[in-house]
Amino acid sequence: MLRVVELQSAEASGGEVAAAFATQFLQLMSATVTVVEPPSGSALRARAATLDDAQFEYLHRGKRIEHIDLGQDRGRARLLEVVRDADAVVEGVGGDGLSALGLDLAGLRAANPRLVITSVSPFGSSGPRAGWKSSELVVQAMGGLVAASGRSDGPPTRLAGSQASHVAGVAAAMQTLAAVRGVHANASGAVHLDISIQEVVASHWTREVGRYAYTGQETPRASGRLGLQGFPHTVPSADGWLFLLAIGADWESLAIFLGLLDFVGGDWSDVEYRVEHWEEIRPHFEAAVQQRGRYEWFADAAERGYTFAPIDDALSVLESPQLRSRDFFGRMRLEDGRTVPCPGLPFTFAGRREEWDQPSREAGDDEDAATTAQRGSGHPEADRS
Amino acid sequence: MTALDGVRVLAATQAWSGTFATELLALSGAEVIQVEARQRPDVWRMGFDSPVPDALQSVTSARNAWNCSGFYNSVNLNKRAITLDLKADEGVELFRGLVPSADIVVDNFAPGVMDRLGLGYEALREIRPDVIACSISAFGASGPYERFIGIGGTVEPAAGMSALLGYEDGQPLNSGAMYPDPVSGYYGFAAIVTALFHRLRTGEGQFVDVSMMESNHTLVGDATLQYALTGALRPRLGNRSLSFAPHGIYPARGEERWIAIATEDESQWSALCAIAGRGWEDDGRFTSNEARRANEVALDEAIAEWTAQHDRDALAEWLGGAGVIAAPVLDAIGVAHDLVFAERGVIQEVAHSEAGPWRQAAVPYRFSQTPMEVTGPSPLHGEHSREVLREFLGVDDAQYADLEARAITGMGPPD
Repeated sequence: MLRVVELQSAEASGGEVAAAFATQFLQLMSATVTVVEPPSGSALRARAATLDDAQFEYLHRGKRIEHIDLGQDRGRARLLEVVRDADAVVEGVGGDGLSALGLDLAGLRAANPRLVITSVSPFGSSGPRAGWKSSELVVQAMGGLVAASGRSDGPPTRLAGSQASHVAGVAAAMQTLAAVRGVHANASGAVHLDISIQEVVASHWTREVGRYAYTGQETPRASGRLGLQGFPHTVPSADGWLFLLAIGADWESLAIFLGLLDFVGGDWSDVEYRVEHWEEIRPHFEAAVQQRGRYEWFADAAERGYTFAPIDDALSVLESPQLRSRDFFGRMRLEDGRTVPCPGLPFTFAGRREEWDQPSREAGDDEDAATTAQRGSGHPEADRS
Repeated sequence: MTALDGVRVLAATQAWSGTFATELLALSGAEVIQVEARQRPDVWRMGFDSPVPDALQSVTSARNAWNCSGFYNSVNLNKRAITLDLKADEGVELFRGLVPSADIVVDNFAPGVMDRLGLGYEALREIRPDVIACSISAFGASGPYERFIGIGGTVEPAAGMSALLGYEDGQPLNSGAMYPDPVSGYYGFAAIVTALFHRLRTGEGQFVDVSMMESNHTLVGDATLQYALTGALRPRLGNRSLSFAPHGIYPARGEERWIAIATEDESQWSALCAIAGRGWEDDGRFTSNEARRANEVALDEAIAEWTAQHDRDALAEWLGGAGVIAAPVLDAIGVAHDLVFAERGVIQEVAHSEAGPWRQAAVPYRFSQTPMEVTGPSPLHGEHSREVLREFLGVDDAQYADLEARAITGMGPPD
């Protein structure tokens, strides 16, 4: 079993969410994760005190939390003791955060020569931006994600939540795994990984950078009116929004599928004509889509090889027959004994899911005393199994 | 020495999620052999009939459009490429012949395709008991959507992400450029390395089933947990924050120039006010974070009117230097030409034998001991067919010529 130490500080660095997401992922992969935070609590804990958004709970499932005062010799000695038995340390305390905590790479390695140390920060630990003030908004903006998202008749739009930090967390976890595998396979000794959230996000743009380099074309934001195929891709159905991006489909067969027989053949086959006369089609198009529910469209479209999709919110995702069938949601146990569904790993090994139901627990005199930082009064979803 | 030295991968992957996962393996030191059809190349090669891209028209070596696709060449670094006609028994047998030399077989076909080809996990395991087989698909290899085809653009709404993107008074939106594909590639890589770990300890291989829908949902899983805990659905917020104001993307001088600005405490707000010089600090609507959030429309209008008069990068530098959270909104052009990216090796010039030297996104991580390096460009269609079949199966020149003539393997479109 992998043993991982997560270092957090009281100061927000911009890397704290990514580091916590990385170790959360490793924890779901059966790693034992110990979070080391100051006695006053981490920046993540301070944020959780002001917002009721479940991020803290999401990032701390199953982790053991130990409060250590690294400003004292005794605290630093305790940390080195924890690190001595670990495979990896993942830290998101910022460019000079380690030294601010009274630590350095050499000291950690002296305690454990086979240690993999993964540093996650907004811009990496070198270069002119290493010390820049940052946030989720900034790394999304500078990683290229924001520029292409949103509508062309409005400003670029950021992705919801902490997606850049979460993606960087996945990247940090996978590279930590690969590095520890290298150590275990004797392919390498101790390794320090320097992961920049901005760079991870930008690496999503391999395709778009390639497109630009070879063709000079920029990635446009979605049209305010009509989509890539000459009709809106987001349309209300009888019971919610439907996404109709029918890749590879021609208008004629799609129009027949939607029941728009008056708009098949002749000038309607010409996409430019259709776009020009869209207002004639629009009411019929919208009425046709509204005749059925989004899951009916989704299933029937799939039968014909069209890539439609329901646009699901959190409630719909929780009730998704696909995700339920695959046991994607594990159960997170709350302090009062109830459980709530919570996303697990997005893959199965030999058809099996990992099993977990533990909240975070504080280290203390009684290591078995499980406590949780979970807040909120609970919802009917709680206890549903 | 690299982290995945000595690991060999057979990749029946195409387009993005699978090719990105296997490119990450290749950049980490694994030897990746990409398998394509002779008759139907990877869809990201844009087919045999496409023209050579405009920017490459003057490059004399850019002869074949299918080797000059910016899409394909951006996600297949460090790989060797062979072609095999997997619709022919002989092609399948050649694939099976490569399996004993492969630690890992990866595909991103729809579930069931590898089984129908006789290359499913059970068949592979008979050939090599400790093989790791990883399949990346839109909805996973089980469940009611198992056979539904999907792409990044349709996975995103199904995974609960689009419902969160956009403005409160507008419709849900997808992000730009099929973002869910590389996310799934990351998870594919992580799952494979974990399976390698398991094999290192136990000697056991296994089948790994990666769902793009599930992969992408984890990025917004906190919103689902929030609903489960409180019954509250998170609203679409545009560029705003639940906590702070201002928090937005504002126009800068020029066309399609945008700057991100946020303040998360009063000292940052004061710094922004001082730089703007518009008297916002004395405007009763903006004197506290609570007041600013209550008057966010007016606040955003005031900031946008000011930022529109300034150069994006200079303003970002100025604000950033004063401790205000600020950043230029970079597009693909900005990313490609970013000097810091170039300095840190994220964007590198890679020489391709047909397309020539081009800047492309390469390695987003720095390792102190086992560096990820670009050792070769994305391969030509079938470029390594002859050498791989000779190296692993002992196919001699005469046998290869026969296979090539019958389009079982070879380079480029069949005659």
